[in-house]
Amino acid sequence: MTATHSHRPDGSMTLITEMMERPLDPGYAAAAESRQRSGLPAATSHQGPMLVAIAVLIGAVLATSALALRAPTTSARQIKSALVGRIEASRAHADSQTRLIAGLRDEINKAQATALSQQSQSGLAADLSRLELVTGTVPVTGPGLVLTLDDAPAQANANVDPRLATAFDGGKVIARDLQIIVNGLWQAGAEAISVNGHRLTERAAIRFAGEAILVNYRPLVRPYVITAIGDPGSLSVDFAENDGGSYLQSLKSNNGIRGDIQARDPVVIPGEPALALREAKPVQSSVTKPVPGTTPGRAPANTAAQSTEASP
Amino acid sequence: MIPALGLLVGLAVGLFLHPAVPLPLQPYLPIAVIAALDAVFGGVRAVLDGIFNDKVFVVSFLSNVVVAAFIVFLGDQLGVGSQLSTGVVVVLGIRIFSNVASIRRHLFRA
Repeated sequence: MTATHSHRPDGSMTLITEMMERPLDPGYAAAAESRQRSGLPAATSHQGPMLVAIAVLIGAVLATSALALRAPTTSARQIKSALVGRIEASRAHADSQTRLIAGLRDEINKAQATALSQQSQSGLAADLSRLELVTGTVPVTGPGLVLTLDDAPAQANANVDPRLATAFDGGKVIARDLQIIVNGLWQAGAEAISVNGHRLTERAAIRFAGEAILVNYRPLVRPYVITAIGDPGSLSVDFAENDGGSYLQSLKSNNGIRGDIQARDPVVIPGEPALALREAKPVQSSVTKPVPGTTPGRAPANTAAQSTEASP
Repeated sequence: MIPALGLLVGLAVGLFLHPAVPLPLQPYLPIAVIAALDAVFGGVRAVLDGIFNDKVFVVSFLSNVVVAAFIVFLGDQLGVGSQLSTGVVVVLGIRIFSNVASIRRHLFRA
């Protein structure tokens, strides 16, 4: 500030200069100087008991803190891997149960067929196979469309404000897109639809859980492959003309989502084991005959009528 | 040589006894480690410089640990604990690096 300031140009940074240039504790130099003045050698012995005790202490501190500070992350990781393992085990269990159900269903079908043929009730057998086809419990095949949807390529949104992009990434396929497109396919006359191999039966739901799209309570991974059975010509034409088709078109042109429709013959759509109806009971009327074993008249009329009438 | 053996003994004690550190003390452990390392490297450098003094070493180690822990404690009370521990780590880290550089010059002449 004044004319008597130090000659050093970095005089204002004494703290940093001190730290950089004199890293050694100045106490060492001072102690050595005073020892030399009183005629002793500058350095003391470095074998003293206090020194050894401190060395033991330092070692213990190092080991203890390494163990103590490492432990939380490893325990968290253990818990996480345990949870992941449980999820995977449960999923494998569910898959094996589903396979078991499919196998048992085959047995039931065979037993039903033999029982019905033995009683020479071919009308019932035909009814049964027709109903199974309609409710989607058996795999079906036929000409149809394969519609592949995928998220926009990452660089398409690279210049978007990242904060906006995290709030809503327009290039990402969401459950609503799948819902609208599937509705468009039904509207265009599709007779059976599956998404990534999950059959959409009358009780299937397409919904969001966090970041994942769930169909039939199973998370999907991209790309999303929608398979629909129907007359290939009219299906693709009608779909292109209705809401689902125009929505897909706007997704492709505005959001960069990749969508691709191919007509294929044949496509195979797997069956989905039907969920048991617990509450819905058939309404007794002239059209629907009462099923033996159910008490007629107890069912709520409207929902029962809908559930029996609702067919894809 | 004997202090180095002591260091190893301490490491073994810590590893095998595995003493439980109370949770409130855990934020101070990294600071204690850095302060201890600073004292150790300062001591080694003093030995090589020929001006080692055991009393200075012990006092500087203890005071480093205590002051560093106090700064972090104060920071926790003021709500800037993580920033102050970063500061302590930076200062002691710079000292460790320049002491190690000096040790390296002594040992390897480079």
